[in-house]
Amino acid sequence: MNWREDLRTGSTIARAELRRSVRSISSDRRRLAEVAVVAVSVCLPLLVLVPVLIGEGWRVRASTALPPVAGWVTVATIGLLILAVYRTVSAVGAIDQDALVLTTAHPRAVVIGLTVAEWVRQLFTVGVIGCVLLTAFGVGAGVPWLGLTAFLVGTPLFWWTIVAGYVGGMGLLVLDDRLQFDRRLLAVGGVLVFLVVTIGSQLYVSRFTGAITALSPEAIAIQPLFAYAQLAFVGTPFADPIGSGPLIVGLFVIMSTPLALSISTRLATRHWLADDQRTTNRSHVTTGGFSPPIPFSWSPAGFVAWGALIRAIREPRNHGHVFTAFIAIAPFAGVYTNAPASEHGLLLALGGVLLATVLSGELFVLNPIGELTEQLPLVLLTRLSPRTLLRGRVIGATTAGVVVLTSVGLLALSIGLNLRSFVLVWLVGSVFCLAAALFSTGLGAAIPSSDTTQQWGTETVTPSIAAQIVFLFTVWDGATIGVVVLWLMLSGWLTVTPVVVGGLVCYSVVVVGPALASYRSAVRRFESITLAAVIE
Amino acid sequence: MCPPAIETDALRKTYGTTVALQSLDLSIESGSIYGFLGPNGAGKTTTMRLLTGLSDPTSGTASLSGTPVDDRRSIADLVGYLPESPPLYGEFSGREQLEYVVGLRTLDADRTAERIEELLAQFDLTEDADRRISGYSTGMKQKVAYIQTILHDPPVLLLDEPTAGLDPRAARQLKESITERSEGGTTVFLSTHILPVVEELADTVGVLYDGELVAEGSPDAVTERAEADGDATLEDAFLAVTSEPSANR
Repeated sequence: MNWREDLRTGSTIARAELRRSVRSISSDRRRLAEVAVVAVSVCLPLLVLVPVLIGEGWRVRASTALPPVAGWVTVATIGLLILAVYRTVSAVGAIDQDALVLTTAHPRAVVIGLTVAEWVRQLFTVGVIGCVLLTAFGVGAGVPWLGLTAFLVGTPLFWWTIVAGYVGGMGLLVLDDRLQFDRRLLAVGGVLVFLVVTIGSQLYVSRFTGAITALSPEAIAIQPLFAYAQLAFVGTPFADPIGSGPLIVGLFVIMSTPLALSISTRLATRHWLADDQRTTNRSHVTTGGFSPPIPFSWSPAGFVAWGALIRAIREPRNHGHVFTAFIAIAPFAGVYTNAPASEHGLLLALGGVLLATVLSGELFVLNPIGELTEQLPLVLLTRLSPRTLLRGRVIGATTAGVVVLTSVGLLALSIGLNLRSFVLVWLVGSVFCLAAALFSTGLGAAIPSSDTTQQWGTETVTPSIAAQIVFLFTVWDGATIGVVVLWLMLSGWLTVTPVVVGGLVCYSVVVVGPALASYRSAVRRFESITLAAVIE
Repeated sequence: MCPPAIETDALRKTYGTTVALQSLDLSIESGSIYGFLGPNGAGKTTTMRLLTGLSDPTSGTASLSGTPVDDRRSIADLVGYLPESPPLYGEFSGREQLEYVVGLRTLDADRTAERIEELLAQFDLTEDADRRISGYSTGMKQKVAYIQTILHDPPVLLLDEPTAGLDPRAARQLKESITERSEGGTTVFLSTHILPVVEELADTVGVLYDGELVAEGSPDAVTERAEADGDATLEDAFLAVTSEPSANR
């Protein structure tokens, strides 16, 4: 079976993967800055949560009884499992330099290496955050070592979620390979499933608020799992007598690991040796040449916009980062359900404004220079000015947003939105889309990212994480304020007074001003760009 | 009797309705250098991926030194594969990359350390061995990739455009290394568009066109078959057999 050899090779691969992960960040100032931005955005909520948990620990200290957390242990484990599946599908399921790795090492060794590396990564990110939170609770409860013991107890569970998640993720990738559907259909189908799950869950919770207790995590608690997690409290006043639960969980983790690795290896081998769909789909024939329709054919910028749109439609996975738009819009479903039926049309249209705005800001424009790295030798030597290139991308992004805005608006019309509101929402939404696209060009040009990464089974250049975070903090929040004001006005709750008009003027200046300034800065950056500047 | 170093029997690969490789029969003896030629899209890289087990054939079989290519564990020791795009990690230094491959192949690190130094010196890479690969030139990357391909002394070498991006000196070093290895008994399967390289090195030439082997033999024999004129080169022969393949079969 050569398990020993595979474990040895696997540990070599894991160490190399971790070293590469660290170096790819430490040797790149931009990526270091991104990590700092992510760390700050994670630490800010911790500043609130830590005191709360210290207080909660203090509260339970006297009672020597833990609050009901069995369900949360189950929820956390399921959450980690889903995270592992997501990470496998989006990143860890692919091998960098497969021609080297697969001709030198057995696939099982590669699976071991990749999963161990991912385990360590998760322990030092998610694990450390959990450790901090539990330490805070422990400090309040008089057991300051709780974070450490929880970390030790949780480590095997982390491992199990990683290997089980790898099986799930690889299963999805193999399914993706096997299905001979068009990639676009799969992408659209994936987005629809995601929308149904996220928005549907919001609707469900909102609609059945009376039954919310039935949805409490305690309802899905797996008792042996909780009993295992309680090992972290051994030696404290909160410790329960150790029953068979920890043994069951421990045995399950030990027994299922080789099985999960074996299944993963089979699935991974099938996926890694599968024929590339892009090679397979040689039958894709496009006739008629590149002929943009009116109005795109009227100007060179229109040409650029149509090119961007066509490429996005043909290979949507290259724009996987726009997924955040759908995540951001999901909570809106709860607002929709809690509102009276007479408001549904308007709320749907306003939800469309938010979705369209985020899409317009994320598609084509959040990394306008980085996405062009490969084409720059061509692009920089054409007669097209940087302004035309950027304008084309802005037009493309705005068009995509307006199409979504119009589609959702028409749907809203069919469920009772009046025509006047439709027109107003559409006009405001279109301005938002344009403003978001303009704003993003400057933001994306300031932090270009030309790194290609394997995501969703394809090699793609994604905007920098810092640009995405800043975008969501500014555009999403700004658009939400505008949408709420618009809703209040169209519902008749906000009448036009000099103060309101003044506020609207200020808001417009805040929206339009930075958008135009950002666009101008993007043009300036593009005009001064050279190949070396981008590649470095 | 030793089995051929590379053997394929009716090897076929299709992608959907597209036939990338028709029924390919090859039998390459140990220690020979086989020049594998063909225009872009002829199926050369597909053949190499099939011979390394990186892709599954639609039908037919392939083996290296008598071992079926789907026996992944054994094949890893038998073959060294240098794909067209050097499989290197930019975050590693040249030396680290080679040591990583030593680990992947579970070779004895102490014994191989000396060999790594020798090969680095042979290819003028000693001074740059501790620099990150991301800062290497195309030629340096290609040389590191070649070294990692031969590090375990495989009996079969599959090289896809090995001299691409190399300056004349580096190309000469690499050609000498290929010849040396061949003289030592290594079988080299060499795919390239640079016909003078094949003309200089190969014992046997195979020309693939549209997934089909349309000519095979020594460089002189292939040249003669394509052109009665005594001044014909391998390039002339290549152009002749890949323009009207049916006439040459």
